[in-house]
Amino acid sequence: MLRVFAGQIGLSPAEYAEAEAGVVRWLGEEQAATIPQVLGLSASERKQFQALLADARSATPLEFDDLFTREQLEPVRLRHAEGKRAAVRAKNEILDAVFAPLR
Amino acid sequence: MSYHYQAKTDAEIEQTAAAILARFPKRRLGLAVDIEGILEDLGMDLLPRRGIRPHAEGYLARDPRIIVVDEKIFTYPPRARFTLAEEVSHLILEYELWKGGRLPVGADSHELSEQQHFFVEKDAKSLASALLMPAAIFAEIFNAKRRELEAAAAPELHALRETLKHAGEIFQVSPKAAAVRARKLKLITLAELKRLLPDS
Repeated sequence: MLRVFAGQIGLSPAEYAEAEAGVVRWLGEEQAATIPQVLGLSASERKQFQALLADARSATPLEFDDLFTREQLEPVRLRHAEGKRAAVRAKNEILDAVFAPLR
Repeated sequence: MSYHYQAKTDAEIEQTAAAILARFPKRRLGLAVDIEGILEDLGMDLLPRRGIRPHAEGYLARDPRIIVVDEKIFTYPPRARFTLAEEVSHLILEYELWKGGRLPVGADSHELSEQQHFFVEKDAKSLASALLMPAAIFAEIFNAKRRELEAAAAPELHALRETLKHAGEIFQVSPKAAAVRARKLKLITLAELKRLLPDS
C-alpha cells in the first residue's frame, strides 16, 4: 500500500522511504499538491498539512546518513553473494551504494 | 568457540514455517501469505535503496529491525516477496546472531566455511519457500489443478506448466518457486522438474 501511495505522489520506493523517515527535500511542489488529493483531505486538514509541511521545510534538513549509520546497516546475511570472498568485497560496495545520495 | 550453524532437517523447516504461520493467522491475502504484514508484526522495517542489486537483492542488516532491499525488486512482486521471506528466515533461523551487540566469532558471512554458507543459504531459501507455500494447502491446490487439466486431456508438460502458473498466482510466487516447492513436497518428479527448469 505504501508503495502504491508513493507512486501516486511521484516518488520511488527509495525516495518515499527517505521522505517517511524525515528527508523533507522529497516533498516538493508535486507532492504538496498530490498528497492532499490522494488522501482526500478536507479543507481544514489541507491547511494543517500545509502548515506542518512548512514547519518541516524550515527545520534543519535531514539526509539519509543523519538517520542511519553504516554499522547499523551492515549486511549480516546476504542474498546472492557469490561465495565468501565475494561477500567481503561486496559488503563495503553495498554500504557505499546504500549511503549514496539518491538523485 | 567459533560459531557453528546447525543445518536444519526438512521436518524442522516445515515445523518452523507452520509455527510462524500459526502465530500470524490474519496475515493472509486470500491463500497467499502476507509476508510484508508478518514483517510489520515482527517490528521490522523495509528500507528500499538503489544500486544494491549488482551484489544482492536484499539483505538483513546488523540492526535486526531492518531489511535493506534494492528498490528494483518491487518491479516483480513474486520475487520481491521471496526475497523478503528469505531475509526474515535468516533472522528466525539464526536469531542468536542478533542477541548481543556484536556478531559471535566466526559468524560473519565471510568467516563461514563454504559448507556452512551453503547450509545457511539453503535453509533460508527452504524456510522462505515453506512460509510462502504452506505444505498442505499448496499440495491441495496443485493436485486439484493438475487433475483438472489432465482430465481435459492437456499435454503432460503443458498441464504441469499451467498448474505451476496457477499455483504461482494463488500463492503470489514465481512459477519457478512453485516448481521447486512442488518437487520438495514430492508432487513432481526430479525428471519433471528438470524438464520444466533445465538449468536447475
